[in-house]
Amino acid sequence: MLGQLPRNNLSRPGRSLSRLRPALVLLGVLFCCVPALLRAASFTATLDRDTVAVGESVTLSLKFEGGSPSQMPSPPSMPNLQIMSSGSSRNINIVNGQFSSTLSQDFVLTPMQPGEYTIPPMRAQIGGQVFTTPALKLTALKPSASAENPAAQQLAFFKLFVPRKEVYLGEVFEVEFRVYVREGVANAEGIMQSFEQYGGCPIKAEDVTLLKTAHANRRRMQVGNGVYSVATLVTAVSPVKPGKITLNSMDVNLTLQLPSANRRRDVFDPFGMFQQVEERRVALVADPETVTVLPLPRENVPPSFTGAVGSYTMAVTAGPTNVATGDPVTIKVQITGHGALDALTLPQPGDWRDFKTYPPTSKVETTDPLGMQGTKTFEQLVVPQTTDIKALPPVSFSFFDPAQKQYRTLTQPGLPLVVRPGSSAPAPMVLATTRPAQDTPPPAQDIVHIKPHLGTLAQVGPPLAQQPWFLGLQAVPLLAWLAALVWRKQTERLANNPRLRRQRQVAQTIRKGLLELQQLAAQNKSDEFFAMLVRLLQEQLGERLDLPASAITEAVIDERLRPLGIPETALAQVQELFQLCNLVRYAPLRTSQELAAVIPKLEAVLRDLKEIKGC
Amino acid sequence: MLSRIFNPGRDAAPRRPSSGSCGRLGEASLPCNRLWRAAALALLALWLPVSSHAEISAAAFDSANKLYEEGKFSDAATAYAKLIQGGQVSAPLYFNLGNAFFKSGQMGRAIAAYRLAAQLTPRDPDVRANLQFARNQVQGPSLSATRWQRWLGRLTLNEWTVLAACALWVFFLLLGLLQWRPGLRPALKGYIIAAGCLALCLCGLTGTAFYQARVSRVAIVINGEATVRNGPLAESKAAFTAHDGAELQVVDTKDEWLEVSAGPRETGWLRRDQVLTP
Repeated sequence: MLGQLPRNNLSRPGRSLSRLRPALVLLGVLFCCVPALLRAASFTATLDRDTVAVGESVTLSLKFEGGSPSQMPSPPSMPNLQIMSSGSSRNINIVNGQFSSTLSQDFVLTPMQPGEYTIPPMRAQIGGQVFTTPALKLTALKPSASAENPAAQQLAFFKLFVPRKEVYLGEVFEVEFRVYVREGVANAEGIMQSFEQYGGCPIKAEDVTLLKTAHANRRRMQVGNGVYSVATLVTAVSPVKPGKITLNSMDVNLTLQLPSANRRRDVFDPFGMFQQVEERRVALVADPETVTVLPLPRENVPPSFTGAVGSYTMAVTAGPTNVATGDPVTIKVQITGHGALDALTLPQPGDWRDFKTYPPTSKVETTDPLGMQGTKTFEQLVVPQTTDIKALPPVSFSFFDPAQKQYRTLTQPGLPLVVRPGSSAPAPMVLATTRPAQDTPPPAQDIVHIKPHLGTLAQVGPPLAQQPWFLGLQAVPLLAWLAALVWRKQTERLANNPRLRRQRQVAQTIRKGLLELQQLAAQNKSDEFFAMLVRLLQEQLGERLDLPASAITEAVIDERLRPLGIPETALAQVQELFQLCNLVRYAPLRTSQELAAVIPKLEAVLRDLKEIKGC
Repeated sequence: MLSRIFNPGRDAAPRRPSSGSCGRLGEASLPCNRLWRAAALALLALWLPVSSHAEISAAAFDSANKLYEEGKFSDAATAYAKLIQGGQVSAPLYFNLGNAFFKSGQMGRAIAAYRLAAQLTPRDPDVRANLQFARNQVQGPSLSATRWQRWLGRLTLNEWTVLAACALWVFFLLLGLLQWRPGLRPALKGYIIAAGCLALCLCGLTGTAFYQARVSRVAIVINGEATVRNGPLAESKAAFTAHDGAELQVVDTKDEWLEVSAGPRETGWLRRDQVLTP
């Protein structure tokens, strides 16, 4: 096709590309689809299980991959075998441009009589090819045959599985706790997950030490004619007492959800989109298992045996092996194998008289989740005290091997050691080409020595946070802030309220003025006395009536005070004071007593005026 | 402080304020001097027993150290413990007690003593080194401090408390200053926010430190091997074995039993007499 394009079009790339676009798209589609179309088709038929009890159902699935059959095959009718179609489904996947299609057709087969049923080969034509499935066999058992295994009748059950019925004292062995949940239980997945996330130990037993528990992979198992999902928890157990021990499981109450046999019409689910289930509560516990614990043989017990049971190897290293007296030598003992690694103790060394020894340190590195397999490493510091030492003492480690049913002793001969005199020993020559590793100080070999000074003695008492005086002290800044806040608010209130500000100023003026009046009366200064009296009256009346003090005259009594409903007696007293002031201009009072007698009248008037509600 | 007590006249009497009769020179200064002299004597009388007690403690401490140097570690531990029973403690006292216990093979008691020393001086390298060294000797399950707990343990509870209190004081005083001088608001705003955040963080840290030190309890095994059982009964089956010095979190208590935990899967009950709860 490309070859048929006119030559002149090739000289104009823009036009040629636009004309080529449909062809390129077609090529792309073909490129994507051809592999799928060319993919080999297939046809398979499977039964979900091959043994059922009479009356139970089994599913026959026909799967067509890579195309659809020209005619849907179906199993032929057979005597005593009920066959019902349960629908078809199509699954289409496009992954990374790879297209795949699977068509499934399911049939439910229910045997009505015990016996062996053979489903003959089925033929299907897909894309011109003819495919044939092999014959399938289905065994139907009598109901009583499956009832022989009571567990097979249960929807869920627990089971303890102990691989070995005889173990030795101190030996570590595994106990499996299995949770079986029959397929078809609606919440089987949730139950499985809850057990797979369970962090405790499912085993109950006396006279044993329960070590770690780990989870095994989930499995599908057929028990009788039922298919179960099985979650397994494996616990490492070590007996501490000889005799028979009984292993029990934990008991659990489970709620099983079963698809409802009687589907009711639900107004909220008219199309039956949501599965209806019935709940059934079951109390589950596994049958106990008995294990015989054999005592360790009393014959031929090696002297270095300290109770280790299992199978081990030992490696001993030491360094440095050329030291001065007083220099530490680190002995590393690695015991690798299978058993209770945590309980292993350092093999007792031989003759350490010429060494100063320090408590050993140890660490365990396991290679399995149960901690039964791995390596325990002991590190011990020893300090040679004399130059007569030529080798480290031999290290022996004994254990009882349950597989061989005998004690075994691993011995590491003494490692050669060169000990120089400490005083004449030359200082170690450091041939380091790089700076010393200051970030990683050498491990401590002993505790730091005691302190010579007693230090500051302190009384044992509660911490500051529990002492009331300290807690009370913390309220001080809070109170200071609150006081500042209140002061600020007050100041702002005064600033925004000139009436209130004037009220306070007048109150202050009157307080001072009354004192001054008393002094003026004592000094018999009549003019100044009455001038002050008038001023105080004006200030008080001006503040109450919200008028300038200078605007207050005797006329305000009738014009402003009387309309406010002030008692006549009070008005009369005010008027009397004003008139007295006017009178004094012409006939001044002469004596201090006369002047002092006016002050109580003024105070009474001022008190009455303060009661005025104001304008 | 000592110089003030020994020389009260130089420090106190001439510096009296001038207000009141006590401040006037002449006839009123004589009773004032007498008053201060009496106060100084009273202080001296109070201090003397303290001083003599400190001298006695120091002598007992030295004799306990001597026992330690002679290799009589158990006797030294007894002597240190007797000093502590006197009611006054110090970090070196707990430290040396820990050393004496360690050398006499009592790992659990040694770790307990080091922990107490670390509570008083958490940044003392000797205390930290010995505590770590002792912990390294412990076999079997034991609690290990998280990085967060180690960081929090760099200060004592009182130090955290004082820091938080200081931050609170600064925060509230800045707020008070803002009320007094509202014009400073733009300049103080950043400081107030920073002080508030700091105070909040420090209060949280103090609360956590308080929980760790006073609420969360740790039991230290002092038996050679202590069987941790699944229930608070002697008949309960063994869950695991804790060795001398193992530090376990106390989860619950019942009668003479403590529920302890060394990890999510290592939980059980121990008798009280098998552990120390410092």
